Amino acid sequence: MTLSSEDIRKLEKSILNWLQNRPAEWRWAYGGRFFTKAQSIESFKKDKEFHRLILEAALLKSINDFKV
Amino acid sequence: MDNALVLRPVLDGDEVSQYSYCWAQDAIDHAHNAGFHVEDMGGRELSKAEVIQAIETVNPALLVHYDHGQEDGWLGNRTELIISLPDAWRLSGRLVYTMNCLSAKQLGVEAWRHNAKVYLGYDQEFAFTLTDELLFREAVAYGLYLYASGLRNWAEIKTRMYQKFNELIAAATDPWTAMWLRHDRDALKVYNGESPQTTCTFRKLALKLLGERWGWKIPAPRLRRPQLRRVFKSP
Repeated sequence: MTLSSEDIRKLEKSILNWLQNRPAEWRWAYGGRFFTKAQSIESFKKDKEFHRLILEAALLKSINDFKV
Repeated sequence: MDNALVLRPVLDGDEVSQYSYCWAQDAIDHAHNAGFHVEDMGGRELSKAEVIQAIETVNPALLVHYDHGQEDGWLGNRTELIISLPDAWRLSGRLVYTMNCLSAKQLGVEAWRHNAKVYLGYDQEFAFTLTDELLFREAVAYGLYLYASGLRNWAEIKTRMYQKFNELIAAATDPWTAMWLRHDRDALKVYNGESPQTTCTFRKLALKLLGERWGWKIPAPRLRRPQLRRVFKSP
């Protein structure tokens, strides 16, 4: 089984949904800057590089979860 | 008694460096516990000149930097790198412990080539969440905690830090926290506890022919003039 673009879309949707359910004051830092909830959602939707970074980090975390 | 120099600048109007300033207190405490006399510089922007002067005066066996970084240097202000590739020789013979973004990628390798006793740092951007800030803070200082506890083998310290990250990932209930702990864990590099990796064909050949130590002695052909590449906007 390979990961289809449909599966990727489901992952994107889950991440976006999760971000949208954060409290308004939610923030996190990446490199030199903080991202608010709103900035994270906007960047995830519009910034290709950021979008890829998050998807990659989510996939690598999933792979890590199944490591024995 | 050996000296330690802790650099923990705070860039004007920069919130991330206010966090790294606080986190560096752990490094100071562990350095004290390890028996170092600690010189603490920070809480404000630091110039390259005063950092170089401090290194020459204090002659630290342990040099710590907690703040922003880039592939080829450490930041301490908004106009210049306080330590960059041409300064790598200044790290020779020292334990260098950093919590900054990316600097293990080039500066760490260069310091290792110039016989730094160890260069601990990260070769990717460092990320953390505010909901679980303490987990990240604990992970980054854990290497110095182990050193203060008497562990001197840096390969073992790297392994134990990796395990600590894993414990924290397992303990994290927030997926975003676990995701970025995994990211930071894999970005952690500890030279001499491990050797740098290379994608350069010529370097690979040199390593094969000359071995690890001498293969890395051949200078990299593209040492650019150091410059500040990162721009930090106030929130």
